[in-house]
Amino acid sequence: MKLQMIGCSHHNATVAVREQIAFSPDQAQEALKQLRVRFPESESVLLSTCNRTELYTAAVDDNSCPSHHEIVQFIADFHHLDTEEVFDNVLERTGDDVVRHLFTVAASLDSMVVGEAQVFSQVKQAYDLATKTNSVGTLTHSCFQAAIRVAKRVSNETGIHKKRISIPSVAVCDFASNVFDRFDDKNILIIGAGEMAEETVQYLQGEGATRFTVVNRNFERAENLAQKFQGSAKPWDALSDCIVDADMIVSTTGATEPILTEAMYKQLEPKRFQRTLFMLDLAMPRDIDPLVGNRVGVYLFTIDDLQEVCNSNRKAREREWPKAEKIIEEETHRFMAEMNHRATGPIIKRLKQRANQLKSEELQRLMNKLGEVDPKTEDEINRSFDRLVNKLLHPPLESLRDETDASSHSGLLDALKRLFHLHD
Amino acid sequence: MLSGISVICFAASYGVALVLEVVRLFTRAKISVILSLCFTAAGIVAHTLYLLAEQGDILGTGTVSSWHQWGMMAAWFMTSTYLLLAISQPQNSLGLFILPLILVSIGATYWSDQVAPFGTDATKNPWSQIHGFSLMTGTVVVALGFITGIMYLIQSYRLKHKMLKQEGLKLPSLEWLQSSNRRTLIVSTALIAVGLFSGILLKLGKDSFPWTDPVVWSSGILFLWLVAATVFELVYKPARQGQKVAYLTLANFLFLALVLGLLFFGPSEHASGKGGAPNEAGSVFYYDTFFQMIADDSSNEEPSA
Repeated sequence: MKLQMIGCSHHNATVAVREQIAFSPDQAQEALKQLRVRFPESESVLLSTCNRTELYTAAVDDNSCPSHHEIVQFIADFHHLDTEEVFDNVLERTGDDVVRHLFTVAASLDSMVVGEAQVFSQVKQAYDLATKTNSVGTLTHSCFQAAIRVAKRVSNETGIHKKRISIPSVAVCDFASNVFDRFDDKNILIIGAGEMAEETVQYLQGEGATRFTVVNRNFERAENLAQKFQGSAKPWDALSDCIVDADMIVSTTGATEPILTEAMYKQLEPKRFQRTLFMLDLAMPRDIDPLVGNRVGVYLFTIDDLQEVCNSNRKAREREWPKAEKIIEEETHRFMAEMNHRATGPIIKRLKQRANQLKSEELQRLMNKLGEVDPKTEDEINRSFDRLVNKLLHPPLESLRDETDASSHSGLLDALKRLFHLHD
Repeated sequence: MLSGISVICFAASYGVALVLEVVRLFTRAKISVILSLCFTAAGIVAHTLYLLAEQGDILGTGTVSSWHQWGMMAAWFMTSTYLLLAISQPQNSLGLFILPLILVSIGATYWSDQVAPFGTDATKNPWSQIHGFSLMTGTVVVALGFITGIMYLIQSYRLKHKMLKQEGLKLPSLEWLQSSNRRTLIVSTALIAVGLFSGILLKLGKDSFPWTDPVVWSSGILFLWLVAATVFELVYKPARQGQKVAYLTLANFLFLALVLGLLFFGPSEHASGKGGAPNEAGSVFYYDTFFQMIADDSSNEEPSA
């Protein structure tokens, strides 16, 4: 039985490399089909996300499983890349290391943002795709089903997923939700059209927000961002009017001076009738004068306030890490023991069959030589042979069982096969 | 046996629920939320059975036949509202604010346990029932408005001072608290208006109207204040927002506390009957030896017949 993973992740490969060897869903489907053709006896699952590309292969017979070099060659061929280049950027894991790694990935402990829920669904999707293309077999079925179970267990038994650690998610889910009960009827003003603004809008959409207005010095960029979220873009001159109408402001410009001062806000204040205004100043240097936060009905949060929460949440997740690791270690051990029991079963059966066959042959030969023997003596001889076989087999089987429980059976199993000529 | 349930049974349940709410400040284990809800639910079941046992003779005495029942029903309404809110928002520490008020109201009601019931004629009169019931629900709504007002001010302060890291204390959003404040303001005004006007209708056709009764005139002032606050809130836009509406609900509660203070400690017809006999004046009069002592000592006034 062989289980291996060959691939790369954000830990060992740059974005450029990851981009080169990543598989789109269609490519992944095609790759799995090609793998089946090239290695018909092996099982395979391909996990490709923006942070990792990992190809899991397995085979009951070690010799049927593609080697490290063959997989590298396959990836290089598929993406028309240089084999050496791929070889230098991928890692190989085998045996229980693969299982432990897959469990860690599915439980989101290996992610760039530890605890993010997305990777769990990506693992499920990869498994579903492999099932759809008939690329999975007994080993990969068991392994991925166990990974899904373990990820759920980690999620239920630890708080590793509970606290948000990205600034936009903390801003929206932990802060804005303390001010607003619902977001679908709120006017949200986005000042600036950068990545941070976009990410924040994504979280706001997740909370149900629909009314976005984007104001940016570069109107074209404002329009582009507004289009993505079915919002409206307004020219920079309309900023004051937009502030009057806004319930929430997300400011992420690269301005070197505050774009909203206390004096400016005081002028707009009467038109707002002290309506609650939630402000997120995600820019550095700050876009909004901190004194604006002292005005009635204004709740201003800067990137420092959010960063503080993110750090404290990150620490809270770290505190949960040992608990999650313990679960993964325990589950890996259990999984490997189960797999080993499954793998050793046929060998033990064959060994016993061989021993019984020898015993029967020798017994027959002895009986033929002895001639007429009374039933009692024959029964005693039979039992004696049985005891002999059992006593001879007991120590090796016991050792095999112990090694199976310790998740490292292959050496002994191979030795048994060779010593007793237990080939298929 | 329904009669076997005492005030202590459900008050203790609410007390344990409050302790569990306090525990949640330090550890946010799911089990403490579940236990807190279970204790409140158990308390409300006992509370309901207690009220049913008390109202065994509902046809003879009417639904609210004494100040004791009036207070117990008010506490029941508050607890029911709390339980519904706590189930819909289990993450929030609502119990920390509402349960103490419930316990105080039960305590105050238990304290006036010796009070004689309202007059039979009074309690069987439909106007009297409307008068008592609307004032009771109005009182509950004002009290709930007070709680949401307090929560609004705390939540606003926490947001202004970036104190959200205190994980133990979770409160509803400002928007929810603000809209709840507005609703309580409007609903309490309507209920107190119904209570007040039904009280006036009760007295119509009688020889004299107790204008000088402190509870009557203070209730009138409370009503006028509520109307003014509601009109202010509806007409003046900034008053619909945040802190202003919260302050209005706090002021409402202070007025209510004044009325209840006059009711219990003032020389009011509403607070004193004669010789332990149910008052038959057509309103919700009752007798309490404690109040009678005060009344005798201070003015030697005879309760109205």
